[in-house]
Amino acid sequence: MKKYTYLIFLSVFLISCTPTKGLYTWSNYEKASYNYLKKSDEKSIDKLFNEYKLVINNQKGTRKVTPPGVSADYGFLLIQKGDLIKGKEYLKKEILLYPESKIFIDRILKLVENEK
Amino acid sequence: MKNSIYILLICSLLLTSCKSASVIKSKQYSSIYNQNPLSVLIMPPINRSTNVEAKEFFYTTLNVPVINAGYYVIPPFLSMEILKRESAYDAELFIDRPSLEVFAEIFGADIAMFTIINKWDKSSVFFYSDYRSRIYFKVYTHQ
Repeated sequence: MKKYTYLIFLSVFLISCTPTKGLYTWSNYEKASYNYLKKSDEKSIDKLFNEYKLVINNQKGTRKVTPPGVSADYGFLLIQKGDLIKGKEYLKKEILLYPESKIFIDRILKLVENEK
Repeated sequence: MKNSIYILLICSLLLTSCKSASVIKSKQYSSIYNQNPLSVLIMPPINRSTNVEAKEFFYTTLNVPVINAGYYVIPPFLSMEILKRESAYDAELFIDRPSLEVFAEIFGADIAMFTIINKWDKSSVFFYSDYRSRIYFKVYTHQ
């Protein structure tokens, strides 16, 4: 009789085995972005920085491309830190990856130029 | 023992037949599918609950699921910065205004997504705490 119970367990186990792979992987981005918004102290900024790097360089989703908005927000953070050249590079990368963003990002690039 | 296995089998059959797939999203929300929007601007949530932190917290949870569904979401921190600069951080100012040209012009967005947090309670039972929220979604499409 025990055999049957094992069988049932096994089937339940196997059903839950199907991998659910999304378009993108996010690491701990959500948590880091919340902490950044809440505290915006040095520690939370550094954490978010690392998460952006992970999401950009270690993409394991089905698309294998940096998700929308990540390059742009990373570039924005770089500019705020004072790294203007690298920041602008990432903003332009966003347009390259997602042409839908051109209207908005072009506006930001102009704004950055004016504030220099 | 054999009986119990039969009961289990019947139960599992019943449970799998519970899916109600009669309503298709493309039928229910046909106009949004016809317009085929690509880019989404997520507006800062309108907080009508008593919890002050709910607005920021909820905002940071919104972009990932919409992106994973295949849409382009306007970079959340950048758009927040711009909305603050244009003193448009309070979504209340826009939610009842049907004209959305501003969003298309500045952000290039096809959709503006508004959320209203009506309730945000924390309930704790021993060491386990749980947030309950009541959220109202409103989506505008440009065109």
